[in-house]
Amino acid sequence: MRLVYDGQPIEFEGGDTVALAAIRNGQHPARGGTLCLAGDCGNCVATIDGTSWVRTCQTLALPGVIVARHPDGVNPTMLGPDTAADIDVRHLSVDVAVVGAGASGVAAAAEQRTAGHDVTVYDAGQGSEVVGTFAGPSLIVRTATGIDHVHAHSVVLATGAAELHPVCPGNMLRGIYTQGAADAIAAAGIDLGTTVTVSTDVARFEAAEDRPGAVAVVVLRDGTRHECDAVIVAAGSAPRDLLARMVPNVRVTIVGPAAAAHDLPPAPTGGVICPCSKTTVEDLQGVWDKGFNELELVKRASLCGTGTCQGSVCGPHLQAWVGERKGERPLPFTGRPAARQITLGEAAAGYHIDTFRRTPLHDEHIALGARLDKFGGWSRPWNYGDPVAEYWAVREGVSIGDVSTLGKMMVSGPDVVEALERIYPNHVHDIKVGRSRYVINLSERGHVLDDGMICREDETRFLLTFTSGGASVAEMWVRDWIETWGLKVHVLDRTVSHGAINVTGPLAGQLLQRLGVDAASMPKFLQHRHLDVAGIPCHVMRLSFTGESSFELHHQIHHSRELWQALLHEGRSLGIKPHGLQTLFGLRLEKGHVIVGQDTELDSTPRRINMDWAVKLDKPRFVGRDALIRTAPLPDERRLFGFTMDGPAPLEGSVIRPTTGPAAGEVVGHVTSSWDSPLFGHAVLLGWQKRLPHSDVVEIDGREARVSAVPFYDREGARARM
Amino acid sequence: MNEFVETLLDLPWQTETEPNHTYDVVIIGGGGHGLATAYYLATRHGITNVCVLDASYIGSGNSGRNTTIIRSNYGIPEAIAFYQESLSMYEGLESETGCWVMHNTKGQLWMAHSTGTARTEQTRVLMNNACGAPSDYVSPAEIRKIVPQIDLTGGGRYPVQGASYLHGGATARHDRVVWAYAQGALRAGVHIFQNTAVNGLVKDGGRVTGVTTSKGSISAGVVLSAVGGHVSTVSKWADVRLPIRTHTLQAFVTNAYAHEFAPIVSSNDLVFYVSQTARGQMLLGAEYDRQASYDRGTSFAYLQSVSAKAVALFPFMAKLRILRSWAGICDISTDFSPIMGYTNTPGFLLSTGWGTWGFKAIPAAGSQLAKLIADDATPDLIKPFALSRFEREMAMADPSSAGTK
Amino acid sequence: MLACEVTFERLAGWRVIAEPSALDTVAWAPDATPVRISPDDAFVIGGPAPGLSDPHAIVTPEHGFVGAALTATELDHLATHHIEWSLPATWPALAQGQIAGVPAKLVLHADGSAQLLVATAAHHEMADRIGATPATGGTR
Repeated sequence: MRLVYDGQPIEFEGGDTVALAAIRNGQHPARGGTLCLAGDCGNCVATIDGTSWVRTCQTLALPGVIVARHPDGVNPTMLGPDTAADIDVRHLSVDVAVVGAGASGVAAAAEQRTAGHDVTVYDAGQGSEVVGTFAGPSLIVRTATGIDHVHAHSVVLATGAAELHPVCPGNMLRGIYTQGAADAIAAAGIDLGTTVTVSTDVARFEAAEDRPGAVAVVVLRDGTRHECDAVIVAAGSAPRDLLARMVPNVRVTIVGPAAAAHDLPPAPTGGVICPCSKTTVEDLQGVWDKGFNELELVKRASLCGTGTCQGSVCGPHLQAWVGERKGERPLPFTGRPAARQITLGEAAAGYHIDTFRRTPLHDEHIALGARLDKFGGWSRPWNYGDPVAEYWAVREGVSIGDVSTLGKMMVSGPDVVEALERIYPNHVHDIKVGRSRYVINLSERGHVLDDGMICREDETRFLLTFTSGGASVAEMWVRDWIETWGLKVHVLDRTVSHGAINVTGPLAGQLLQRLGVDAASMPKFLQHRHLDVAGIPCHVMRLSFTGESSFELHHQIHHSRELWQALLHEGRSLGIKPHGLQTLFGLRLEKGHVIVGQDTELDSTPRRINMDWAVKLDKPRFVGRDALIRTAPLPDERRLFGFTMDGPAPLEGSVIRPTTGPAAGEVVGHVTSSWDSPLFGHAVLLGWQKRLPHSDVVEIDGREARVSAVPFYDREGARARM
Repeated sequence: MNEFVETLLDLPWQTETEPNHTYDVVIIGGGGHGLATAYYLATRHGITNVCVLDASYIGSGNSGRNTTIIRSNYGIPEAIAFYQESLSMYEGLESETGCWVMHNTKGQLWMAHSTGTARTEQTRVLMNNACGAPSDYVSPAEIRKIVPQIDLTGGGRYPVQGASYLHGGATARHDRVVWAYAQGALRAGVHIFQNTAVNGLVKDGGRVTGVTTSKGSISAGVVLSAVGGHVSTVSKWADVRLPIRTHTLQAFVTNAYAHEFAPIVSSNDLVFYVSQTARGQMLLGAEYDRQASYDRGTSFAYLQSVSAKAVALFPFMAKLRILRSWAGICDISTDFSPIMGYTNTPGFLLSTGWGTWGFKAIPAAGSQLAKLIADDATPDLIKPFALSRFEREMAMADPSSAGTK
Repeated sequence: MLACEVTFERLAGWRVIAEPSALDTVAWAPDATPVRISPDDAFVIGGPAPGLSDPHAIVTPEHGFVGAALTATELDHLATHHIEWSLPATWPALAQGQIAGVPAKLVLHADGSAQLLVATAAHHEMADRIGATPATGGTR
């Protein structure tokens, strides 16, 4: 069998790793340096099938695999297609996970089995690389077929010890092996030629002129020289405890050599201490002499330990080197994931960034050619191709909009009025059955969180609505408060169980009558009724966001499409058109209705958005009351204003500058909403002035704009009551 | 010696092995903020009887754990002005201190993948240009020119609609910034003591008059807390209660690759950011952990979600190997903006609330706080960021300051 | 990766929010399958409107879920590849949590099979991720 090594086919034997295949062919899998073949160091990394920085000693050789050594001294390029193969992710629960199948792992596994536990053993040598230990305890394990996310009742780390690499001049030559690597090479039937075995007594390695880059002579500290083809280094070991040091706060058991005390090697005096970052002992001395006098400072200044092996090779040597200078053994640096190799593609596998919801009318919108976009976690129609036509349908005829995304919550119970009185700053007790009221929610700091409607169903039952974006927070908000206060209230969030269609426009009532609602039972403004529309049971709420007569038809979602189609069909002769969010935003802006989150800021009190009318400070208790009372006497510069100006409407976000006064020419705020009103023929805006005195005339987008009373449209609110 | 080592300047430590009994200014926290304040006190205001104390080594906290991004594209004029000052000071830091901090102006893209976030980015551009931080709103085609590695379809799920582009966006090597200020401060006569934990404040009446440390008590004219992560503890000693919660913030870096990845890229919808280090590694970050915590542990869920987001926009990253992840603990204020200057306790000053955005503020915060201490008056640039703003109901509410949601 | 080749069906039933003690003592109709979402919240698949002893109980038709029947093999596949959390040790049981990143519920039967419940609004995402077929159009 052959694989491709730097463009040339080379032979390998079954069971060879890529590193062994290279060695079998007289090559170094990378460009030099001691090989451990145990996955501890970064000296054998290469680009394999387009992925760089792969430890060849942990990668099984396969026919046709393309291995490219990293270029000398510079970073590797990426090869091949970008797209990663589909990576299989498994979520596994195990009883006892033992990491390491060496002697200590085998012993630990046997002990656990004797104690009656199910034991699963993970060992890199057997194809299961443990990338990290995490809270749980859990392990992330990279296997030949994918990534295992392992949740264990307990974890035993029996990772053993890693052989120390030699740090001395010449240690980046080819032909230097740890004892373990040499054993593996011998077991694979590979002859290294004349070998010399050394320990910590090695002074330096030298190459011969005829074989540059390869070790030919090893010189010992006693001055003796030994010619050889390869050097085997048996210089002791250090705990392989990266996985253990990764989780100081997670209970794992560490056994065997991984937990045993180890002597540090003698402090190195020359050579490359960190092969991954190419840091030399001279570099260490250089930073030390410059005053970098802590192990972490030495690391950060010299980059020693910041490469592929994350200090597995250099750590003990660096500890010894710094310890010699400070007179005490420094702690090793923090262990961090990833202990073994994992790519971003492998880490990402099986993860879903977010989930977008669809309303029950999704397919209808697509059939109508809507431009859909994502808003607050939902796919919603932005427009149906002609927002101005949609606008006129609302203002002069009838239109329907999908408002299924509104937060919808039913609350019921003996304490429900008390609970709502505390949650909302407006009065609740005096809302009559069958009536509804616009309300805002405040945070404890008195800042506007959300807005919506309260509909009273009977004495102890209400339906609450919230904004689409605020619905999920609102549910937690309501539940948290009710639980905190210990009030008896049942809560049902039915946001996704109920659809809602807003039928709006001067002809909206007429359309509903055509669909079976008799004139007498038609709800008046701010009333709500349970009525059949087109034979479908609906909770009909008469309110208005658009400024026109509007009926929100709340219904069970299995009826949504039928209801939508019936409205469109019956409305055809009334010129009905559906409208999207773009038009809705313009319509409501003409009415001066704020969109919480777009027109408001994190610290918008009701006063700042001119909504003190929605707050009843005479109430004894509601969320945010204390803050509003505390801040009421404070001077307040920040205020939301309506503006008008000639079109075209400036971009939302345009800055606002007073043209006169002390802040003339300075940025005092920005436009939060902007719309070319087809009806008025000029632009209407909402925006902030955050500096006193507030100006009546400002500059926006280099043009003059004037403060205007809001609403811009139908100030008396007559049309909504038509 | 390699270039990285050769170019380091000396840290000329003071000869004293123990702190003096008295200093004009004691600064708790030897990170970028504490050291920069000491540096500017000494070099601009002639106040050299200054001591900086750190429980560990200098830069051991968030100064050495951030993603090295320098930008000024905030949402409110006060913040833009402050961070633009910092961005400009960073541009001159190497010539001022003589230290190579690997400053690199590379521009920052902030991607939008929906109508709503496109509006947010457009707003950012308009506000930034009006307040002195030159920016453009760029189209998908222009984005591709700036960063050819991008998949403009966002993996089919997050199509790129546009981006704000801050021309002055930059990075600098975080450690080297710390060291640049430490070197300059030491040269000017400031004392810096590592491995010296402050474990209490000395008070006389209502005034803070010093600190107690693992090396004994030290008297001080004023004490500045420039700690990251445990500011609530330090402030409590001074009877100052802060509107701050501390959260874990993680980041990670990949192995290096040869191709240039030019700008800093953030995504408004996906909420992550990535840039390339001078060594060729990709450096990734995202939101802070939702649960308030003092734990510096990392989680796989974080690696998983950030990797998924990165790969959605940059498919080549699927093949990059995660080299190391880490975490810091950051102080998040209720309005997401920093808190600088006086407290209601005389003698006790704060530099905190740096949340996920402290590195980029180091030069401006340090120089402004030094000026405040020297003049005993708050400079205009940082007046809006006084702790008293919360009493005055004048929050600097700037959710985009976190670069997160 | 193997897909979980099931088909989602729209479910009709009742949502009942009531005092836990009242829910504990409901006599469910023989053709109804109650799924106790929380002590005060049950989703009842099928059957007539249940009567409750709690006068403040909320009893309302519920059409917001789709469901898919899973064999033991399909459940095992789903759990291994799409569920990060551990299933309950003893069955029958109700398990709730994210499955393939989508909030979902699993009604685990004693025989090893299960019913997967997902909000209709998000089930297209679930179907796409686990290789299932989404429920077809709105019922009329």
